[in-house]
Amino acid sequence: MACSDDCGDLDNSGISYAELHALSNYSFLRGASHPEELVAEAARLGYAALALTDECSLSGMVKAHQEARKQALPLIIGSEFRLEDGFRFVLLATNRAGYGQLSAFITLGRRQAPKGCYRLNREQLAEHPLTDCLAIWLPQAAPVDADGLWLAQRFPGRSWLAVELFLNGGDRQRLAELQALAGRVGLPPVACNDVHMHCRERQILQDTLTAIRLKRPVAELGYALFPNAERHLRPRPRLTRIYPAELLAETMRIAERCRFSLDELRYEYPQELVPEGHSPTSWLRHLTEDGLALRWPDGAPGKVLKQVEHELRLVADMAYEPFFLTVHDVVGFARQRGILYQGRGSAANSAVCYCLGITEVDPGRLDLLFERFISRERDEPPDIDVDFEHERREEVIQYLYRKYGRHRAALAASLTTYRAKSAVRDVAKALGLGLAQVDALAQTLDYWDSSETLATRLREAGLSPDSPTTRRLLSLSQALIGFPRHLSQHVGGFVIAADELSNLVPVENATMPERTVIQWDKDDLEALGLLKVDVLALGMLTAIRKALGYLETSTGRPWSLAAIPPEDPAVYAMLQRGDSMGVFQVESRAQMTMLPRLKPANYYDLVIEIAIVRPGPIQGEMVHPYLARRSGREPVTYPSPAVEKVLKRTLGVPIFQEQVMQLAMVAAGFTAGEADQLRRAMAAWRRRGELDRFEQKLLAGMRARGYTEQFAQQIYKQIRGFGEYGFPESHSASFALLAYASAWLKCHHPAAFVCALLNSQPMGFYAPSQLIQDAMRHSVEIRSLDVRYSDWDCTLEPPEQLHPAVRLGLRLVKGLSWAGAGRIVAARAARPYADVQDLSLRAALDRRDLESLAAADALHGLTGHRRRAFWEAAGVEAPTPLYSEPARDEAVPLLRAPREHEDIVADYASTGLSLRRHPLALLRPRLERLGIRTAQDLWGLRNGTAVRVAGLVLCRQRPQTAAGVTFVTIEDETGHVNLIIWPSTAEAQRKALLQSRILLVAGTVQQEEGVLHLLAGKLNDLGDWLDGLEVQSRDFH
Amino acid sequence: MLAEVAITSLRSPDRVPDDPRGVCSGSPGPLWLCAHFPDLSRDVLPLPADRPAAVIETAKGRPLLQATNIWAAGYGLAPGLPLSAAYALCPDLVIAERDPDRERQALERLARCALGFTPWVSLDLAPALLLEVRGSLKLFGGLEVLTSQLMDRLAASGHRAVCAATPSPYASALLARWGREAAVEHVEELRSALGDLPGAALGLDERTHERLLKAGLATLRDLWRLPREGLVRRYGTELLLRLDRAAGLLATPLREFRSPPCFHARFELSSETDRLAYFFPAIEQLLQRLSDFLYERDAGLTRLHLALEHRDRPPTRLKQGSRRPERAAAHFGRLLRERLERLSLPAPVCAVAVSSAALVPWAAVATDLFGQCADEAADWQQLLDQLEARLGPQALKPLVLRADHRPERACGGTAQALAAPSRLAPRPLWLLARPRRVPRGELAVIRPQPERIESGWWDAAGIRRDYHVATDRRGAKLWIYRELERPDRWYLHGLFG
Repeated sequence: MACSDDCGDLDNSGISYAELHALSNYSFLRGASHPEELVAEAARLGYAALALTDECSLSGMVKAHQEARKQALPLIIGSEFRLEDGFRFVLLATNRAGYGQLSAFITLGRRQAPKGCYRLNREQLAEHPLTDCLAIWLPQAAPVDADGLWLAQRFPGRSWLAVELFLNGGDRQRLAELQALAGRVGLPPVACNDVHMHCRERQILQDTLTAIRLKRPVAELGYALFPNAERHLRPRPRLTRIYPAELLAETMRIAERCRFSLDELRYEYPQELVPEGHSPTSWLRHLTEDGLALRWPDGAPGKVLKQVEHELRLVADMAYEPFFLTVHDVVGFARQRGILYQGRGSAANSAVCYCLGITEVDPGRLDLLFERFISRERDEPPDIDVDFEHERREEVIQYLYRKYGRHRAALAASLTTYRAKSAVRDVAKALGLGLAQVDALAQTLDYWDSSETLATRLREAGLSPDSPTTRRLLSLSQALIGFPRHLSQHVGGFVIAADELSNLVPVENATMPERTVIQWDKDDLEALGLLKVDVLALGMLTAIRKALGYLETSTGRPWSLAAIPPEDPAVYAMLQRGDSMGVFQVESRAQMTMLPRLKPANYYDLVIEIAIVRPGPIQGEMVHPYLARRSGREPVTYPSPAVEKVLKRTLGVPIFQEQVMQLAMVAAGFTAGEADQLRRAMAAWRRRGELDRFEQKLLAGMRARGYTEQFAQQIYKQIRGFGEYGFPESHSASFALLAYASAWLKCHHPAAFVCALLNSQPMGFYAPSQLIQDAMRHSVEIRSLDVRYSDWDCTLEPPEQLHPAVRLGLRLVKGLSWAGAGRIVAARAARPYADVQDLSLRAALDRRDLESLAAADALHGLTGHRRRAFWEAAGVEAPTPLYSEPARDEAVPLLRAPREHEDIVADYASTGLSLRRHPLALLRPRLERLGIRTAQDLWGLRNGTAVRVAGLVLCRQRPQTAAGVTFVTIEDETGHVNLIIWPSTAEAQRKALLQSRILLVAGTVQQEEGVLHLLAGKLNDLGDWLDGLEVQSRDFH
Repeated sequence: MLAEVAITSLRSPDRVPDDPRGVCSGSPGPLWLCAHFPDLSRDVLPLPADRPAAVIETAKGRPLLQATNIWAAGYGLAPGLPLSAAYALCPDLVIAERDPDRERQALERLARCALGFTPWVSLDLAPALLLEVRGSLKLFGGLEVLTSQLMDRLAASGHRAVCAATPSPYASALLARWGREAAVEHVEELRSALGDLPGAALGLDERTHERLLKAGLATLRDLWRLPREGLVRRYGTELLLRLDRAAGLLATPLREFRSPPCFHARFELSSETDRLAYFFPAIEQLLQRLSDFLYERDAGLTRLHLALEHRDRPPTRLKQGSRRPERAAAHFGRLLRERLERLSLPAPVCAVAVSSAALVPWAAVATDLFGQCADEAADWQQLLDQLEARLGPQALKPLVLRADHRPERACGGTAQALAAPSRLAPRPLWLLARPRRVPRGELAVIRPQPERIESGWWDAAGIRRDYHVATDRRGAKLWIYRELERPDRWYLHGLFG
């Protein structure tokens, strides 16, 4: 800032000052700086302390706390309030008790108001215990003495009057008035600055936020905007020119009384999991030893015993027993209820967790880095996620609430932040751009976008990127991205408090009635080392349990995950063919093409397979080297024995996140704690710069240890490539177990498997139609929906046979009510239905249900073709109370039976699938005349052959890792074809690419290592060949 | 003195019978010509003609395309497509929101054109006009000629029409909407003429339409084939109603379009004159007629036109507005006199004409016992009108009070909507139109605490200044500032009184 009076910012000779009234962007749409920015700037300016006082919120406090720890700046915990009568004040916590009081007071205000708001009145401020808090009155323009007198009496010796001056021309007069007021009411005056931003350059953003908050363009806001940018952290020399010295000195007296730090919240763990006579340490040891005996009835190998000892000692040192005991308790409940679960995460794959039954990954099979979750250098708790069947996770959550009480357990918050799209939309509105323009811009951002492509999108939306408005829009949007917008519930992160939760963290209302959410998210809890259990939902576990249930019926013996025979070569042979539709984690298109190249032959190959098809390894360019080494085309070499130890299991190519950290340790001399910081830097998308700090250290470390510059650069590049996408081996190891289990089911019990998948929808990558097509290709008989035989779920017919047929369930019928389906099944048990009228009467179906059944052709057994079914269903009238059977004598008119393609179209419209011929089969004669080949034909063609194929479009994708290439999968009656479409090809044929349901492609065959692609050239939409066909393509997820 | 006064307002003929029984009795019944305007929504909006453009409409909370131009259609954009999808297909698409008001206005304009072909026109089936043309056939020499002339006339006003004529107004509309330029003479032929129209043409709600399709009932013929009671039971009476209207079995109630009344009167002077005193009484007489005309219709006027005709040269035309609807001859008389007194005439006046421009319904004004206007605001408005008439419209400007931190944008005081800061530092009453650079040395700052104003970054006139109060050598109290970026330069911005 070239302003004369701002010179000498960092003059340290000035007086001491602590800012006691500062808002971050966690005072949503008021504060214009991140908490970290405020803390860092306060430290830079030499402030003695900073109080973060977001309005009725502690949401940003943990972020500020972490930054304050880094900057060694004392952080004061506080909050700003406005009572219903307009009285405004700041509360500051002096100690742990005061912190609890403040948190409970915030909770009180938040719980009385709808989501995102709070409500407090004078009476509540008078009565709520706040003995360990300090209060600062924020007087209005025309303050009333009574308010000051009241506060002085309510907080005797603990209350002040804030004097806040902002160069509005009347500062002197205001100062004099407030000093007089302070004298009259007996409150000492203190200087505060109502800070809304860390530096004055943020004023523009602050004005914009005000416009968003008030929902009016900034140009119309007038005096609702601040007149100048003075509400930033001002350098101390400037403050001395604005405030009398005694007012500045007073800030120090207050700051000295506030001695509380969030670090004190640690070790507040629930106690009830440890029985009398045991300490947490001895009880965990006891449970672990029980588990050892169970897992290794003949005695555990020495290596395992040593590992267990090491882990137990570390856990005890860090006092992390409650984490393990809590998770042990939760999975114990699930086991007892027969709910399938599986732990994952680095801590979950420890030997202790294996012994406790939290996970099934045998530590002997993996070389996992236990240090990642616990290291002596940092104070962060272990990471244990537990996945449960998605349809039964609610039972687990209810158990937690029962066990600990709703006043002690709650779901963590999930912080919604501004993304490119929402930021542009809001800023554009604030700048007064027309609705049509705003919409145009926001809509285009829908498609495969990141903030980097913003400028291109702007141009496309008809805004000149060089106009001042557009430049403002761009820079403001970019500043706004990452700002918090609101809190919602996290999917499964549970926090459990030692006693009252509101004493630990404020609780507020969520959108759903009766739901509450705490003000901290998962990262906050983790940063503070608070007890948190991740209770997550996983559809595949539901499907596996259902499939195992079907096996129990057909084989007559109990089945569990453990009963699935391990390392079955038939299973791996199937996977190596890329035949993996429905298999957990390896069913995506990218995985399907990787399987035949990587050819997984054992469990550990699967672990790699899952981790390698990720943006991290792809961007780090690790895929091709790994495949080359695996196929023997490239020698496996290591730059040193130390590196060999780390990378041996992945042939010298780092694939897992853990390996990158280990490399940093063995090759560059990082400590375990530093390596973990590196991991966090990799994940911190918001501040790319942080990773660069490690660059020098890493490169220097490797040079010092004799590695070549080339190797060092390569490793650094890989680390950068990993970014946020690096996949940890610990997760991959758990996922691989489920991938194997589901592959085994698909391989040996395809009917049970597809039935279970269909009954666990929505889940996975493919729609029911594709799963059924796949099952039929694997010789599974699929029987049509039929109101005479179908249950709600899909069923196996007959269930006791080893290779049964699958009867589609009524759940697939679009528009049919669950209750209606239940009545159909119940009434059918008495006697079969005679006709539609009988059905509607006995199952008490309304017209809507009946028409839904007719549309799905589920009435064909009663009525013949679906048009007659529909006519009959439509004619059903609700039974009147007087006549139980409505009299209906009408002739059924002659209705033309639908033609085959009309039936297929109607099938897709109602159920999203058809058991009739594939739509492409209908077109085949016509296609054949044009010389268009089938998907099957392509496999017999030489590389580079020019060919034309046609198919239903199943999905369109444009991964960020693929430099603008679009991938499209089409399907004809013989199978799938994967298309690769270069950006220029796509751009020239947007319409055909984006709108076709049936696509005709001219292209060249690319076949390599069992993978076939078609490099697309000309695209044609054949949609009008089959009128009305509605196939849902899965686009751009 | 020869006076020729013509008061026109369109008189409607008696309502045309739309009774099918009348048709069956053998006498030729009404013939309804429907002129449908497929591009109306697009044509009324300022969209480019040389680039892809579309009209959007919000349905169920999301914007959908309502109409497209030929360029957009080339990209595969069609009505009903969500805007997001449209942008994916055509990123350069220009869009505008649908404007029902403009469409209505355009349609009314077109209806006035159509009145040249038949007195009976209806706008009820918008965006289309329905004309009863049986009576006009002879005059125009048959339907074909009439239709082609009508289409030319409509095209001349900038709108493409699709025309169809049948004995049922509803059937005509269905055909025209579906792009069928058909002519059906007899009611009995309606079913076969409309049979292959898709069920969607009936414009039923989407759900009913879907249900019809599911039973395989795709066309009107399919529907006509089914038992009536079966249809009613399944799809409701509305479907049957529309089918019967389409088949000419049921009358379609239509409201007649009436052109709004207007007033035009002319007074030829017995001799040419350029003296106001001689020709103004004629104007007053016309104004009195106008006033009577307005009272009769309980209407008021916000604008009238006066034409002063000269021999051998174009007339002098005056437009006279009024702030609120007026109908008293005296009021307009006062206003016109104010202006005419200042007007220099190019030539003597030989005739005067007065016509009404914008007729509006009269809003009753309370009058007190003596017939005096009790509404002070009304008096005030009349005074303003008079001032404006005397000084010219540019002279009179409202004193705008804007809420803006920038002094040059705000005239002090408070704005209604947004609370002003309760203490604005004192501002001078007189601001310089353009701040003037002043040498700092000649000034003595008397209020050292600056007022810092940083605002207005959103337009081209953002400021970042520190304001001070100072006195010059003569003791005048000045408002001066310096830019935060250039603190060495001082500017004079205002003078305290």
